[in-house]
Amino acid sequence: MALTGKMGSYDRDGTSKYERGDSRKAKFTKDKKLRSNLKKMDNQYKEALRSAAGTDLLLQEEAGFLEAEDEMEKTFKFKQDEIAEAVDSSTANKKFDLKLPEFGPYTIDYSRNGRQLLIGGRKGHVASIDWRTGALDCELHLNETVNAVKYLHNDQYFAVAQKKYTFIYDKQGIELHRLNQHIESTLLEFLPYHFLLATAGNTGFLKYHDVSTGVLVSEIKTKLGPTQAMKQNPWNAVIHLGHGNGTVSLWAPNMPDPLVKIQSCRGPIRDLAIDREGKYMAVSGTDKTLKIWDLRKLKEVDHYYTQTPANSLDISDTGLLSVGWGPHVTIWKDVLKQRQSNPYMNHLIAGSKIEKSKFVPFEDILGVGHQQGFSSIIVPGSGEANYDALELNPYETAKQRQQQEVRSLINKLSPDTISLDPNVIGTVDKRATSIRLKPNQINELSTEEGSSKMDIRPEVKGKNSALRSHLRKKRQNVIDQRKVRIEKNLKMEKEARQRKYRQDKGIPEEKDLLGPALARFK
Amino acid sequence: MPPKKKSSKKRSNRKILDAFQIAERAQNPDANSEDGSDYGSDDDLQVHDGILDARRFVKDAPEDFEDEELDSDEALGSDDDYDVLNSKFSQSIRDKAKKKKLGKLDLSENEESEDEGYASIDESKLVTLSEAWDMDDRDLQKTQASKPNEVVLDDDAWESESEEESSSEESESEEEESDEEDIFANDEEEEEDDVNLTSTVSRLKSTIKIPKEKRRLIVESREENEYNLPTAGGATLSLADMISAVDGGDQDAILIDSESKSLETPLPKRIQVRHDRAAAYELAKDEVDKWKDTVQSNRQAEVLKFPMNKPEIHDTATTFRSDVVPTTDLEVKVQEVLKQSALIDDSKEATFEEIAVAKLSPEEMKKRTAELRLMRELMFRDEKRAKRIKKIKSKQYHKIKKKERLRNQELVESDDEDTEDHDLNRARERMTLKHKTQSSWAKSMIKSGLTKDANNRAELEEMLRQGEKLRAKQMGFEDGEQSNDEVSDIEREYDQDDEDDSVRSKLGKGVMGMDFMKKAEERAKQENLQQLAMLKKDDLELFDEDDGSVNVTKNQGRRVYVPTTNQEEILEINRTVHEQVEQDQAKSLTNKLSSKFTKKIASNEAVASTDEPEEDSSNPWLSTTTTQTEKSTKVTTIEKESSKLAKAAAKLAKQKQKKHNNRTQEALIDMNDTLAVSSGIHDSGDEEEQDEDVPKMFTQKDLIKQAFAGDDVVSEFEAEKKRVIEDEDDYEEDLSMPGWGDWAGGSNKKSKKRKIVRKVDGVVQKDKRKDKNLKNVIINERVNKKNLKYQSSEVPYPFESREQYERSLRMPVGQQWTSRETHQKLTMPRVIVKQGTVIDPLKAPFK
Repeated sequence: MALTGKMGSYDRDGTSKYERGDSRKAKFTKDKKLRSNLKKMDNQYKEALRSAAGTDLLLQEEAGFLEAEDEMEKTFKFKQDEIAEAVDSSTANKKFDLKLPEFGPYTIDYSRNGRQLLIGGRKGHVASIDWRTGALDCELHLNETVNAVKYLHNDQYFAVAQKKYTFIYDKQGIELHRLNQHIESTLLEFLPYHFLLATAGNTGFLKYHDVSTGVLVSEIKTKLGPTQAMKQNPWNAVIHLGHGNGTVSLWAPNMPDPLVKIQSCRGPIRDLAIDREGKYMAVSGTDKTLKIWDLRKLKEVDHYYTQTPANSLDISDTGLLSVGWGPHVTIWKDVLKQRQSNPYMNHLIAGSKIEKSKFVPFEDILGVGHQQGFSSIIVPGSGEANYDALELNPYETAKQRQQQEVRSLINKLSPDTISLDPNVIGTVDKRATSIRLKPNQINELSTEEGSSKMDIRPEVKGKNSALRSHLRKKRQNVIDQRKVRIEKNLKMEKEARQRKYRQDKGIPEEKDLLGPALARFK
Repeated sequence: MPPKKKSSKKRSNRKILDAFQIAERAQNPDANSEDGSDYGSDDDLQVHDGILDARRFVKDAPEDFEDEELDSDEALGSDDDYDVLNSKFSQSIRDKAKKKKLGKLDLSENEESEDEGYASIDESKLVTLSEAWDMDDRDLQKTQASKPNEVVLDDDAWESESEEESSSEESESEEEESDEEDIFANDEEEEEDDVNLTSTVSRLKSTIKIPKEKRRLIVESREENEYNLPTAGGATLSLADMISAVDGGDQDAILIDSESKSLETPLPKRIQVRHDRAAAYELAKDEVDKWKDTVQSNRQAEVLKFPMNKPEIHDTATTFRSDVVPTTDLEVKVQEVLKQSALIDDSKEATFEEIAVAKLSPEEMKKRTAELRLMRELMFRDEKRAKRIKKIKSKQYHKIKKKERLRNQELVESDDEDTEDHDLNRARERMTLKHKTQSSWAKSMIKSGLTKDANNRAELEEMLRQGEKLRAKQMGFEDGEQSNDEVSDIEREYDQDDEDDSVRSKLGKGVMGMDFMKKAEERAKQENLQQLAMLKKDDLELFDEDDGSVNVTKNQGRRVYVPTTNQEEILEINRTVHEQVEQDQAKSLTNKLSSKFTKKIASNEAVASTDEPEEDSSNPWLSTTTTQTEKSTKVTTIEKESSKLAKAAAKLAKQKQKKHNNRTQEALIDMNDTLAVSSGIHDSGDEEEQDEDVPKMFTQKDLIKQAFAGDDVVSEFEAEKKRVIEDEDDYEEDLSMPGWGDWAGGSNKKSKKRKIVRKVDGVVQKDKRKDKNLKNVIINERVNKKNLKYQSSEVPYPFESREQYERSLRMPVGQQWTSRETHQKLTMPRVIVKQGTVIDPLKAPFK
């Protein structure tokens, strides 16, 4: 092992997990300069890997799971009360229930950093809560059906899919926008890196709305009837829709057709969930199936049955799958990797149907919205233990939040960049030119450039002079002196112009038919 | 050859003379004055020097000088010098001039030193004046002999004189020559046995006589031409002369070999120049190549930081450096002195502190450090706070702050024994008696009924207010503390009324003084007091009645999230409120004090009493009240008369319910219930479990199949896939036109029709589809045109292959994806220039 310089060539453990792309050695090139450049780049890459592996030291937190002591003990038999007794008080305090029997069932959403909780009762009760402290940001009674709630890029804004339109509210609960284009949407998703709010619902349309500019980016007709389920793939920002005929379709805003169509169930899709790395998808259908799909190979990996159709699926950062069916919430561990015979945990909310279950980012908590309100239950090992404060900071201050907002707006991605494989951006595609610009397209481009607003145009006198506006007045039946005079003058001017034109062209003037004596009455 | 010998001899003479002159100058600078006087005596000689020079130039130019311009310049220059000399008879300057002149003479003589200016004249090559004159004379004689037609412009007298002089000088010069030789010989001898310079100099002085200058102008009528050979003395060069030199045994002279070839013709100019250029290029290249390494290393460097070589940090008085290495002599000396006097010993310096510390015990030491730390911390905080406060720009804030400060000051003053000031204030107050209506002024005002005057009235009111304030102060209230409570305000007013009743009665004899008005006032007062009493009662009752129900629904549907607190807590709060109210109600100071005391006791009791474990109320969400879910209990009445069937049914129902209840109570999920393993895809290891599952699974599957029998979504999907495959596949287009070639109409015989078919590329070929082997999946193979604009059609320039290019892309630069170190390294600009520094051009490292 030889040490050379500060960033020596020694190896570090754990670099392999940071590797990207092709790790094979580059082919030999004759070009000396290129060769040295490539070598330099490889060295830089290696250094970067090493440095990244070095940062592992900073990830002090470890995810821990419930573990049974012997074969006889089953983790899914642990009850929440028992867990709450065993865990530290700060975690135990995070387990709570909200009894809201009047306006249920409740759909829920957590802000991206997991600090805020947004609950939306079907009968119009919406509340944004800092759930750890119990501080209520706002509470709304909309007196209208609430189908879905969704936080936007941070906890400052949230969208609510109501009976007809989708609305955007701010943290104080002030209605900021009514999205008229999004009619009867029942599902909401937000793509944080593209600032796109995606809605789908009864109309069968999938609509993307840029919330930073307020422009409707695209509306796509799915042609598959009312959409039953919608989730985004966090890895490539592709939207997955579940339909009534049991298909799951994958959409990008710039393609009129689905990127992929998967026939997953026989009956309508109830819900689906995609893991953080975009590798697996869990789909539950009305036919009581729960299927795990590998999204890289687009192959079915696993196949389970639920006793009643699973209403709500969610996959946590650590790969736990929560399945809400009837009044039960079942949590499965390692279900994406291999077949499981026993669930990891189980929870019953007696007499209350589960509407939506969601894992809290960076917390070992699962939030469950149900018929009777909301409960938050402890699921050890569900949260990502080490958060990246540059990305999402659960403890961010107002200042940091503002800065993060600005930064993310600067780094906003274009909706065009969404594709099934995000790694193609920047790569070489031979079709790129041939397809991208045809000759007429180039011409169009050039003409467009010519007629841009930046061109200097000759200054032309506006058409709306006081005179003309006077003439144009609607009360044409009123004849006043001024009007008569103006009309006469205009007529004379016109004649003069024509005469001059004729003179210039050399057209001989018409002979005066009336003769000089009567010509003046003309 | 004799002439050559002579020249060598001459050179040696010259050398000697030079040496002499130098030595002389070194020996006695005073001697110059003597010399100078000698020269100074013949002024006219110097004056005419210029003429002489010109003449010589005219004569010698064709022989010696190639660069005429230079010489003329020099001549002119010298002229100027002499002018200066004439104007100022400065000795030193003249000396210099002499030297120059000598140098110039030497120039004219020696071809070697043609191109050199004055600056480069070697002292060794200088010729004495006398010698120069000799040479001149010789030349002159020659020319005179050769050219009889020479025109001499000088007047006769001068000529004769000059002739005389020349003759005399000739003899002198001959003598000199011999002398010089002698001297030389002597010199040589003396060199061997320790040269005595002084004696030599004196001897030379006696022998050498500086000759007088001749003034003569000779005009040559001959044209200047390169073919004009100098035929001095009329002697023409003949072949015999040259041969004789060869025959005469002179070794230097040889006849050119007859066999030797003739010189080659020189290369054409163009080629010569090219060769020169090539040679020059080589040289230049060598020179430039020296930079090669430097340039290369700079080019290859990832980052160039300017200035390249860090400038030396100059020590100032303020720079502190531990590794002081003395550089200058002075520093070295100081250092030595310090060392000698043992002042510069680090260890000693440390010992003082150590001794001081050693005396302390560890506890004390700890205490001391803690103290110090505390002090430092406090100071730091105070400083921070002061800074922060200083930054606040709000006027309001500062106003409040000032008020507070003044009040504090007041308090301090009252506490302090700052008696003088205090007394002064008291005195002033007393003098003005602004706080009481007993002052004579007030009395008089009241008596005379001047209070009806608005001004006076206002002042009186002001007085009363002041008094009130003071009273409040006596009671120990803060400013504005009471103003919140309106009720007590009114009360106070009435109290005051009692006090000031007499005053008020006298205030005016107007309407207010009349009996019925008084009565009415009294009545109103009574009413008010009654009301007050009522209010107070209400106040207390409100707290009494509160039974702790906090969740009061004010608005239908709007929930109020307030932590549900204990009954006891609420009670306690109520108690404290009571106490406070009572305390507020206590009017007199003594009353108040007593109440405070009792309160303290009461609170102590309360603390003692409430030892019950409090429920954790840190999380308001943790509601303790759990409502039991109501279970609908179907009451079935079974009578004896009822049939067996009914009984059995009831029993079954009961059992069922029991089971159900059990399940809900335990909230346990039977695995068999929750999950049924499908054996279609996986053969899970647990066969037992599977066995258990089998019957149920069948039923479920059957059920599902039954449930979704109507819509055959799978076959629909497959049909769709087939359609898509067909649509996106390549297809053939028949371009053959109907009727083409059938000129004669529909003939019976089958003509060989050539089918014109064009193959059109579809999206993707059937067998190249990605979803070819995937069941239940349709992958859209159409190109996303909008994505394509983020791709490049060709491999960008420096890269040769796609692999290379994509390899270069795999390392992200952003700080979200790499470590900070990498990010900073990769985003560092290539050239970093330190601002405000002078960047020197690159220094050559090879020199």
